[in-house]
Amino acid sequence: MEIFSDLFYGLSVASSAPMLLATFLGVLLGLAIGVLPAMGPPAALAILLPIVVSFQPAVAVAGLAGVYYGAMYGGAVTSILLGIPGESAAMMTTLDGYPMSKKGEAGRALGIATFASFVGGFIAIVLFTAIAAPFAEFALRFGPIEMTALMVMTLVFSTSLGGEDRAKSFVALGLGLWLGTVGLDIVSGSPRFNFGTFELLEGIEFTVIAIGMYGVGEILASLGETAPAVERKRYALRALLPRISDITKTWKDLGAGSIIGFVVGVLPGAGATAATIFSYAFSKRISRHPETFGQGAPEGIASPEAANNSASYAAMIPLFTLGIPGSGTTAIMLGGLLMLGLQPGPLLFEQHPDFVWPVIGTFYTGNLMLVVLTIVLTPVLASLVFVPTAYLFPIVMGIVVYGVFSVNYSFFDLSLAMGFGVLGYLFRKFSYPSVPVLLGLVLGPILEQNVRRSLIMSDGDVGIFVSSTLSVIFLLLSAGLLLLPLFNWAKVRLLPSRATP
Amino acid sequence: MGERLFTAAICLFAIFIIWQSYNYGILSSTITGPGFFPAIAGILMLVSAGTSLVMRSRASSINVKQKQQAAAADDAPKWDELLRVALLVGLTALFIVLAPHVGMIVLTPFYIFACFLVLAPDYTPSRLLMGVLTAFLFTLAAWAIFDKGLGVPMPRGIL
Repeated sequence: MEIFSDLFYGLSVASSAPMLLATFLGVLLGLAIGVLPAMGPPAALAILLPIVVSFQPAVAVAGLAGVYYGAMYGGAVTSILLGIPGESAAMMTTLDGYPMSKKGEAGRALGIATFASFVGGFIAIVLFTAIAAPFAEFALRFGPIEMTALMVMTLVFSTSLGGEDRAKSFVALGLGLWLGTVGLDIVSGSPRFNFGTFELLEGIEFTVIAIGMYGVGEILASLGETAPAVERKRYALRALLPRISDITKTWKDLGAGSIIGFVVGVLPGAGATAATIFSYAFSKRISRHPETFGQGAPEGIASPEAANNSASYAAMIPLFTLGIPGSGTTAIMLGGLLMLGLQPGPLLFEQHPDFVWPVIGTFYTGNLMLVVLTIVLTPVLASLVFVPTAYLFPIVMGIVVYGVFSVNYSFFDLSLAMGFGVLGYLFRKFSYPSVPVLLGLVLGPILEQNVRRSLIMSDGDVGIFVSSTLSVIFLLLSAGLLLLPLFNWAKVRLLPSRATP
Repeated sequence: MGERLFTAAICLFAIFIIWQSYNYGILSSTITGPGFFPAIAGILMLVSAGTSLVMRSRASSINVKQKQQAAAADDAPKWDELLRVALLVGLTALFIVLAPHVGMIVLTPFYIFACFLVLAPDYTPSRLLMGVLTAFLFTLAAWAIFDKGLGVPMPRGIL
């Protein structure tokens, strides 16, 4: 019953004018970001960080979270109308959304996507509300040993599952872990990798790296891309309202997509895109007419759209309850929370209920706002794709310059951000993932602190890391995932020799 | 080719990290020293980048077709693109150098317009006018939000 009273309190605060305004602006910006193929939620969040840190924590996070889940709604609009996924998580929606649009059913497809997004989001928020607080209570039992093992598992899972090339992903992770060590060592007080400069003694600001790698990196990388030729589709505004027949036809897919999205979203590294792929495959498998998938099946829109929205909320559970991000976007949100003076983790629910519950309350109000905004703003959102980057990118560069400068009032930070922008550009060009860099940067210092604390507790005995059942499970899972390619390699090498006498 | 060079540079940088970490001290009494964690990061980078280099070399040395595939996968930037990247980075570097002397607000419209010139596909009068308008509107918004709204102490320069 305590959850209901907390939720009621959260909803009442979330309905206050500043919170509603922050949520509204967040989801509005998220919708726009979801539509623009050249910019993703991590870049938008990174650029916004310096601006929102001057707000109250709950207001700031309400806005940031709004951008994240708002982008999931927006991604579907261009997927359906133009055949261009604004977000990678909207990729599967294109498979059936665009064929429906070509058949003259663009409005109907958008209506299904909006309704599915709402259902997926709503189910995930309800599950979030029910699970998060008890989960945080359970996580209170985690000491430095369990936290160390959990962080190792998160980093291994995120790095192994998040990128196409494992070797490159681990290079990126190593770089992120190293960047986290720049500055004064907290135990010995000796400077590390400051290259004789005073500015690097306190380490490199998270925002500077995030804005550089994501914001500037994405702009520089898109300079070589040519805009695809797209054709505008016509539809009536009335058609955007979901039909009862579509709801009854897709209810199984809505439910399955929401649950799959939630489960996959909680796991580190998998993310919303993987959730949409799994849910699409599941819906196709349970369908009586799997042959219609890919040719404009309403189930093919409902399932992935419910999944990506559900996953975006679920991804915030490990962030809020354990202080562990599973993706680039949640890593930036963690950076934002730390900048706001909050330490996400099991104690967050106990020590800052005045922050957590209002933010959860904004998830409900934000989800409702998105339904209305998506229906009303769809024509505007679709036309955003046609805004030339020549006008858009100078504005983003301007925001980057002012945003980075406003963090520490430092031009040195701005130079660093540009340097990381060039690095982000090279990472994109040579297919190195940026997400492990941010995860390593955020989790590295906490991991180092926990490793050292554990070793002090055990007087230098490394056996302490296998002294707890939970930590053994986490470490075994990590080792299993790391060794999986080796097993596959051995299987490939051994099987032909068995086949040939 | 570009990718291999980049990966090789990462290998060299990882060696530098490991060497520096060794100088900081890997162990101090019974617990880890300040160099322990960066050394782990450096080793991880070196091993992974080395693996990536070896895998790439093996893939491209098997046959010509795979070589072509590897070359196609190597999303090497084109000269035109590199020039635009260099111009955009150079413009920002110039902004960083000049802003403390000239002033951020004064310099902003010129910076935004210069970025527009780099990014614009052609320079028709209407586009140029839009570029100028974008530059001034952004400057106004930046002044209102960062200077007046958030109270960021920006260098005034000549103002």
